[in-house]
Amino acid sequence: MGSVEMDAPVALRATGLSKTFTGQKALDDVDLTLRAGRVCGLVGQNGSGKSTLIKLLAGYHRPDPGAHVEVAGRSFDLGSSAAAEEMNLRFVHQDLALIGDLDTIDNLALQRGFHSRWWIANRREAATAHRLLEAVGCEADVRLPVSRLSAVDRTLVAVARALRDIEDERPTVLVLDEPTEALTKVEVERLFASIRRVTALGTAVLYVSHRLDEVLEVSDDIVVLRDGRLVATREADELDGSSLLRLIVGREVEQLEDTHRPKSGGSLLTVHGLSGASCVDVSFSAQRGEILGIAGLDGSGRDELPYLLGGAARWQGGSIELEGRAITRMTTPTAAEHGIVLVPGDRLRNGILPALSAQENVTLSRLDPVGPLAWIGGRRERRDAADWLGTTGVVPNEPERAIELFSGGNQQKVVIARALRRAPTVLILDEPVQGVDAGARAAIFQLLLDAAADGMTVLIASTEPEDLITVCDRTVVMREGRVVADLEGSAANTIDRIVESSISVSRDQKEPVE
Amino acid sequence: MSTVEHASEATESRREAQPRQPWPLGFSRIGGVYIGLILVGIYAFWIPDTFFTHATLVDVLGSQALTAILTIGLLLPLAAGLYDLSIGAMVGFSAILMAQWTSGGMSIELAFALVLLIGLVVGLVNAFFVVVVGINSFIATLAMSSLLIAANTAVSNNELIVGLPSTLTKIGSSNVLGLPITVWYLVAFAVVMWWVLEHTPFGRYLFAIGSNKEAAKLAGVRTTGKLFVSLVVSAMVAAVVGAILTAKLGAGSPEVGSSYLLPAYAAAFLGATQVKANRFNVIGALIAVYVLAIGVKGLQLGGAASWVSELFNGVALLLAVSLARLQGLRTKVQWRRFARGKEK
Repeated sequence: MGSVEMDAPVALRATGLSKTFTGQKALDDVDLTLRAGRVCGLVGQNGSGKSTLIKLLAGYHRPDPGAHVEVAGRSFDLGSSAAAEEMNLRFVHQDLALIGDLDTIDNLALQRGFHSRWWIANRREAATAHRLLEAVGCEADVRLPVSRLSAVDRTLVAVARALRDIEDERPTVLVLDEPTEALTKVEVERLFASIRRVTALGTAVLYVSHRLDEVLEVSDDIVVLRDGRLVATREADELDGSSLLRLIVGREVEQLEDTHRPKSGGSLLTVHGLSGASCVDVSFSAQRGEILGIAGLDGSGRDELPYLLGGAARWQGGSIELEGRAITRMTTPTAAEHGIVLVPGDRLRNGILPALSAQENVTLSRLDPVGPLAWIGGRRERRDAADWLGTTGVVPNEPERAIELFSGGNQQKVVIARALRRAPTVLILDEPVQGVDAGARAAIFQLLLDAAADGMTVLIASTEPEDLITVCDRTVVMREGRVVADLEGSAANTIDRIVESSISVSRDQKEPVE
Repeated sequence: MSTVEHASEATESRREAQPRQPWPLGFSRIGGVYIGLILVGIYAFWIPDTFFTHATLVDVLGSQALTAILTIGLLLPLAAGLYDLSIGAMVGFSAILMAQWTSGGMSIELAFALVLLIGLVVGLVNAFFVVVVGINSFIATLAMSSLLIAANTAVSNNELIVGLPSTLTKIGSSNVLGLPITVWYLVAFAVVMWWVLEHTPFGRYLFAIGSNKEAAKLAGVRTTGKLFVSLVVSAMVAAVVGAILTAKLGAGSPEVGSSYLLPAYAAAFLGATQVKANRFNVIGALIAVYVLAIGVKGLQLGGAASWVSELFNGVALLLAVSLARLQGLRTKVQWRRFARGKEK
């Protein structure tokens, strides 16, 4: 269809965008064109370079030399958020970056500025805020604290803030990063209506999401990133869900050495009706030497189950049976004594101890074989830590280096080394490869395969079916707090079945958060 | 590919490891010592007759030993990420109680035991509000400080308590091997606390909790008991310091406590820029206490007004915290090379 639209004026043209982090190309020679009045969907797996691309545009990272960017025909240098701002290049990030206690007027004014420096005329400021909200089709009360608005209204306030110069002559480029993550289906429709409204005013939108059905619905064009490269630019009409998925995954299966795993007959770990804040009556079992995946969307119980099993979340019923022993209550220390060790997700918040060295991060587990006043901190501890950093492939192997000076993937290996050092019988990992590069991802998976080969039972919770089928023997899928499917094997169609069972309930039935 | 990554990270580490592993006697590690030596040099030229004497040396060592003990006791809660602002008032209250009780005829041993017990109770109450109830330690211990000052005034009526037994004053003011006995108390305590903080799992756990309490918990560290212990130790050390202070002064003064709070914090934070960057440590704290003492002493002997010690400590605290912040910033900048702003 859109030959007319394809002639729409170019709002942003970027060529030769590359970004290298410590020898790894996170983004490799990407060209991107956004047209005024059109929505361009940007899709790709985790680690495909989506977030790097956004951060380059936002000026958070500086691109490798050779990049050229122009907005409405004027070229400018990437690498400064002020310059991006000046070029009307605007971002709405997933967390929205609103101040919940302040009302819409103030949230907008923090960026736009008040009308007068000496006297805030409430009525005048309110009128402006109201007009900006109207432009994006939002009718929220501008005097309510934004924390009391609905999720979609909050998103629209953030959009209105980004589009505060929409009355300018220059077109605005709006980047929406995973905007529907917190929205119900009805709210998504309202957001899309607003997006159509602002594109009609000449705004170019870059819509980043991993919800493919929504991308297909809202976008005019779609670009696909894979392993840092742009692999396809299509009009949305040419694609459907499965063809888009094929472009994204590319069907390249990683070559991991699948070490032989001696699975003993019978279960090592059996979970009986475990319940928590979001898990309801969860039951499953795992064998010695088995790698079991836990799949599901956010809020499905997949995000709580690892912490229940690791003793870090409160049990509200149920029990587990480990090597024949029944356990009905658990805390993190007692879990470790039972041989269950957790590697939490969100490495920066729950994993690393930022002020300490790599060595201190590793040996934190099991410091006191002799007692709380045993002598530590000597050569023996350093050698022990160096061994573990070597085993897990942490680069560089410098135990006394501060943990913050390691890359994300290496930090994650340190956290895993800490857990493995406890010699667990059951190792539970929440999102073990989130935010790590492809090399570290393969190394971490290899570690887990090797651990399982030694007879450890490994449980991996992840939102990415791709991650799970790479290493898991079996995957349980969770939805609404319950286990709804138990899928054997790592066949290619397992991904589809995981996705299907985790979302087959329609989103309308999801309760709004408030 | 993995070798490429290996090589590039290795060169990067060589470039970055250098400022982090400096020469053990370099300025970035023990700059305080050099500043102290420079101060000594300046004062030695300026006021040689009064400053560069054995008496002054003994006086500085002795007068600051109690501050140093208090500072080192404070390192435990600080390492675990907690403030204890009640230590100054605790020193004052325990000093008054010691004087009140011993001048009333109670045996020194019993009075000392009771003072220790009060320190224990104060520490437990602090820990209860901070760890169990979950109040910000800054606020909870500030409130405790106010309670202790009230108790102090109730007991002393703001009057000096004199007439202490001579056996008590001996404990606090005699000399051993040519140095005040308090210096030897300090040496023994510093060795023990250095061992606890640097070489025991308990000390390591405190640093882990102070670094990231959530991560430490998830790694299986039991935090509650350790936080209790840290606040109890700082309160009991303050109680002991108060008791020894009374023994040393030979009288119970109702106003001594507050003057100990700021020097202890200044020294603890200045100490955290020494020896082990951005980490509270015993040796750094010792260096800091004595560098501050030398600075103040020289100015006092040179005829400066009495308020210079507060001035000096306040400036030192600001400088120490700024320095620690800059040290932290330097490594982060090197690590991530935030291009924003600065490189333009």
